[in-house]
Amino acid sequence: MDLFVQMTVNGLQIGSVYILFALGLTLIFGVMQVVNFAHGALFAIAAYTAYVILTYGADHLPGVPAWLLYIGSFAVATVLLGLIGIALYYAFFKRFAGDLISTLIVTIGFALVVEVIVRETFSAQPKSVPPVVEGRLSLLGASVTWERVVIFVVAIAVTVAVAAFVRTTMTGTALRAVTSDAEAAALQGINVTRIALVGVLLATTLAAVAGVLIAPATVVTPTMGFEFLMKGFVIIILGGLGSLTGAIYGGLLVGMAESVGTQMLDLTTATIFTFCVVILVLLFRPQGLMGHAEL
Amino acid sequence: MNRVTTLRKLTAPVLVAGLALPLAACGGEAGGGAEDGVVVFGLSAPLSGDAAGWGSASKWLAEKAADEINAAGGIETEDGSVEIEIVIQDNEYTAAGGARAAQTLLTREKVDMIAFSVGTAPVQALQSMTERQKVPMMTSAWGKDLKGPDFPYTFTVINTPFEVLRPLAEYVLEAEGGFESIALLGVNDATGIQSEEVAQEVWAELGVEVVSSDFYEHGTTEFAPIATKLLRTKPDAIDLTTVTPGPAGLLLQALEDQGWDGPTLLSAGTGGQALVEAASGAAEGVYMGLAADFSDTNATEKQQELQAGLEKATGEDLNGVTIGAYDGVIALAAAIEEAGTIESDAVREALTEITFESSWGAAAFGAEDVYGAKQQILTPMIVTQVRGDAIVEVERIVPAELESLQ
Repeated sequence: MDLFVQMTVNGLQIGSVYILFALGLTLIFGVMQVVNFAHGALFAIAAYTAYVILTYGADHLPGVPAWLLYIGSFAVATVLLGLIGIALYYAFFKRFAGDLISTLIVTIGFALVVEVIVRETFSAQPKSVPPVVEGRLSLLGASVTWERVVIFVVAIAVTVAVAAFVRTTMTGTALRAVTSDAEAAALQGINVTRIALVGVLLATTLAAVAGVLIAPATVVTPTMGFEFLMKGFVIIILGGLGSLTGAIYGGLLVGMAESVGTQMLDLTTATIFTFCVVILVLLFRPQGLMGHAEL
Repeated sequence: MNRVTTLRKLTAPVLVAGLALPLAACGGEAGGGAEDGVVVFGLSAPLSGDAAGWGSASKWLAEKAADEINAAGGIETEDGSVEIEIVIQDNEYTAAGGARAAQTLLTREKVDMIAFSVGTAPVQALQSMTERQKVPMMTSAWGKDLKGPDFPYTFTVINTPFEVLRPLAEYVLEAEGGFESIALLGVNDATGIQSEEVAQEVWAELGVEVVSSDFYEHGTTEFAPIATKLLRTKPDAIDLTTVTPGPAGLLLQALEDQGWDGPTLLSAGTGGQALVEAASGAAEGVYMGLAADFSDTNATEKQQELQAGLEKATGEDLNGVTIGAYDGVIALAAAIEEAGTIESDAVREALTEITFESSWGAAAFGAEDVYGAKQQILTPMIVTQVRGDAIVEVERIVPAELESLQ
């Protein structure tokens, strides 16, 4: 019983981290058909932003509470990533929208440049960021940190908020229209360029949320973006490229598969097991769990 | 028109990729090759990816050793003094990257010797060329089968689990009042697998049952399920063997979250301060076999100087692996001076005979009884333990073979 509960808790806590990471990745694909390898780099920049601000705060601002520094980190990361997103959009995404190969090359190149700059600036040593909340929750013999509970709640809340935004607002409706058929949306008078930029900014904001929030639950390294990126792509392909609800199902499924597979198999086979589950799902649902590009 | 548009479309991505690749491999600049009055030492180390910190630290340390020797007039040979030039290639810490680095160093750069090489898989790729071309190679690689009479040009310049694990295990068993079972975890690569074999052997010889042994994949970001699995076997102790500092920190946090407070070892872990940073307090009490604190007063003056200089220049801490880059250059220089030539067979022969002044003090190559040839550096073995934010030296063992040489 304890093991079953712990496996479930492990699966949920892993899944919530994956969901948070995958949301921005799937959104930008849905809106612009961009395979965004830069998402991992943006995520890493946000995590380092939290590291810098939290470390500076601990050293120089002893009276300022940690939660305020986190909010500050999130604000700074959102602005910083937003500016980078705008630059990426006008320099590359706008010109190569829908061109998978070109955007793939550009975003991989961008991610490599960021990795080198981060490594030269902060060294390759892993950095730790203090948790937003301390302590752990015991649940039916299983244990999970409050930090992970917060991530889970925020992941769900962010997903609900993004889903509400795209379903209930005019801008969100326009986003969905562009995702569905950009040319038809343009013919209806939607400013596709502006809406695509909104999509990019939404994706960079999600990268900022993920980077700042996941940073305390992991170690911050120059390569952390690539490590999460591989799982992120698996999740959005599994959930359905461009689908927000698909990212949730995909994240939870991969998280649970990792948790269960680890207990049943040796760790190498468990890694393969996760991918076998993904392949199995895609055999029956090639378009992913929720289908393609359904914001 | 279409062709022009296509070209314009392709220009930017190709330019970005073109900018990125040299940046990713920065440090891999071409060297000059062997010339009169110059001996070229090659380094094969990771400059990109997870282990990039080892590469940048190794480069700085090798260049520091070369600068010191060059500033003192170079290496004296029968043909006059020669200066050292360092060339480094990124081996990406992979077999494929190691093969590319080997080709570049030996074929294009035509280095005279390899002063340092990092990572078992890339070193194996390099070794297949150095042995064939009779190029002396200093390495940090741990594999027992990398050395011996079949590989006479290969020398290890750091302590390995074969030297460290037994004294570490004996110390921990005594310090913890004895225990009966242990769970092992390592990284699924050549280094991890070979270290695990040593760990299995040593713990069995000491009468400790290995209740589980597993390997995690590079790139793993979530460790709670692995912690659950380790604890399921109810071990008295856990040995994280080759787990690198970042993942080890996360795993220790997950173990603590799930209630673990037993003896924990990172027997082949090298980055003590990095572990403390990554574990956020969960590393308290962890024993390590290759993670001396080189800023501590127990370290030699030279090591303290190197630690301070390296930290200032690169932000990296000196550790049990990268220290080998400094000692590799020093050992080769001493051997060339002893041989009076840079001819490889003479240098190889001299390496097995000299006692030289390493960062640890007097050192030599020995351990013929273990490897079948004198190819393992003899330096003190240091057992450390995490106490608070500090890496505390709890035991220092000088090999009897080294003591007999002093």
